[in-house]
Amino acid sequence: MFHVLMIALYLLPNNLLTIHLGTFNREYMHPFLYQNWHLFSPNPGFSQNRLWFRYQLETGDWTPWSDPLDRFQRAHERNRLGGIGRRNRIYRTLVDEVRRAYYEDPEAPTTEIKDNPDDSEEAEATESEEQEHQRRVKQVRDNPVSEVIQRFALDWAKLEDISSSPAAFQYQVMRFYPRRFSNTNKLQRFEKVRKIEFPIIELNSETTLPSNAFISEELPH
Amino acid sequence: MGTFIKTWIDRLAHLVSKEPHLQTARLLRWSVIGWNLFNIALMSPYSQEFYGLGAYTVQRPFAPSQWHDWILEFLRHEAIRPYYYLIQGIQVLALLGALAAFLPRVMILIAFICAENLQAITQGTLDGGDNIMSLLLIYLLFINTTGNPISIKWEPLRELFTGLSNVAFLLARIQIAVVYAASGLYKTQGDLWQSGMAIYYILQGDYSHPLLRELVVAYPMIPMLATYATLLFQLAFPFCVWLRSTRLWILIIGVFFHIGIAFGMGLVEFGIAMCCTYTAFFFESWSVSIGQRVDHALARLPFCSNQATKSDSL
Repeated sequence: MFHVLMIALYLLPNNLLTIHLGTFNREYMHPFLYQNWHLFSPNPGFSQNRLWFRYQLETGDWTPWSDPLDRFQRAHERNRLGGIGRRNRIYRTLVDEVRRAYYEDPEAPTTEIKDNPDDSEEAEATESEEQEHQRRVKQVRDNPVSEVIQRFALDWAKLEDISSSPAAFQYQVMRFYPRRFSNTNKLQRFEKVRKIEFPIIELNSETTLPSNAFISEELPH
Repeated sequence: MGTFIKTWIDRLAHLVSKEPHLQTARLLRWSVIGWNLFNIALMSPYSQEFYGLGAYTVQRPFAPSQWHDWILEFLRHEAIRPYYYLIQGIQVLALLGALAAFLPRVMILIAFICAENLQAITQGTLDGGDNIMSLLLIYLLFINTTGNPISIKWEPLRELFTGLSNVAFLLARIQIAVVYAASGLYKTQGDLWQSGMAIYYILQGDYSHPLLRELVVAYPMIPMLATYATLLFQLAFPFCVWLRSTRLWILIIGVFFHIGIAFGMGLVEFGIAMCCTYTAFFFESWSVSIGQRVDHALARLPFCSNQATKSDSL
């Protein structure tokens, strides 16, 4: 009975009981009995976050933007029992980590973005937004996720035969919002797309591609 | 008042003297271990991507001051991390041992510790299936899953273990019902679940199969009905599964629901995990029948002696 009450208390939203017994309850439940049943609730997260990459070749030309997850996702759609689905979550987590690093800063002043700013305020707001973006980009650069992204980008270039030694690469976080159910345009898959573009990362000539690229090669194109 | 007290004393005596779910507990062990082996098989081609030193994940470092890091997250330690494949190997051996009823409690404990360590460094990829299976492994530590009654001669100790096993089995069942109750109640708080469009948006996302995506766009009434049906099912499950008259039906609906999640949404491990947990609610007569068939099949195998399907004494 006590155990069931502890589980119930752990899963309840904040109330007087959880405030008074919260510490004891957490000590009882963690780490062995930890549980989280927010399965697509209270609302499912319906936007899709992706990382897109592009590379600068030795010739100086840039490749088009490519989405590594797209290929893996299609492979997972073809074979649900291949274990690819769970592997794809690693890449989704990577995007989430970048977004978390980008937006996380409790001390930052919040910028209020108005729907219809007048002309004089618009220029000011744009400048402020750009400064805000640069500050957040620096946050990501200082975060450990930045190193993981670079490793992933180089592995991906090797796997895709893009270049044996790209001169530079760039990535952006794309967020796709699905078409609303009230939208009658059947051809439009996404309602809107938002992107966070990160600056070009120059790779010096000594940067070698990792010899142990982890991305599995056997996935069909 | 006297009758009430007598009833409870009888129930308590029953709790420590009889094991009414012997074969069902055994079946639960098979299904939980089976899911864990299935999960390892799915992940094994990509082990290096999940657990290797160069995995594409951001890790929190090992914290020596936290006691649970030494038990459940020691794989975070940079000296141990390169040997993740040893942890995987030990986990597989422990699971096979538990499946063969070789010291099942010890084997389950080892498998649990290995699973927790491996999960600790792949936290972004975990889902409700991993969570419920970890919890069930803990409950299985206390349940007599051998299929035979506890054979300790000293009666007080036997009654203690019998009572512990019965209570743990009941708690495992309650835990499974809690998954649906909590998830259903959380969903009722969401706008999209209330408006009936949650499934529409879920199926527009990454998880969905393209065919389903097109179907829900062409016929938005289908996801709306599916949304309300999901809510109804999740809220009804914790009640219906305890009633003998509705149990079979709610389990059948649940299997279809989770197969839909597994293949429609691509959350294969989660969908199959939840189906495996349903064995905890099997009637003992079903479990006896299934157990006999499995024992009969195993007895025909040349390398599988009778001993393999019999109990441990722990």
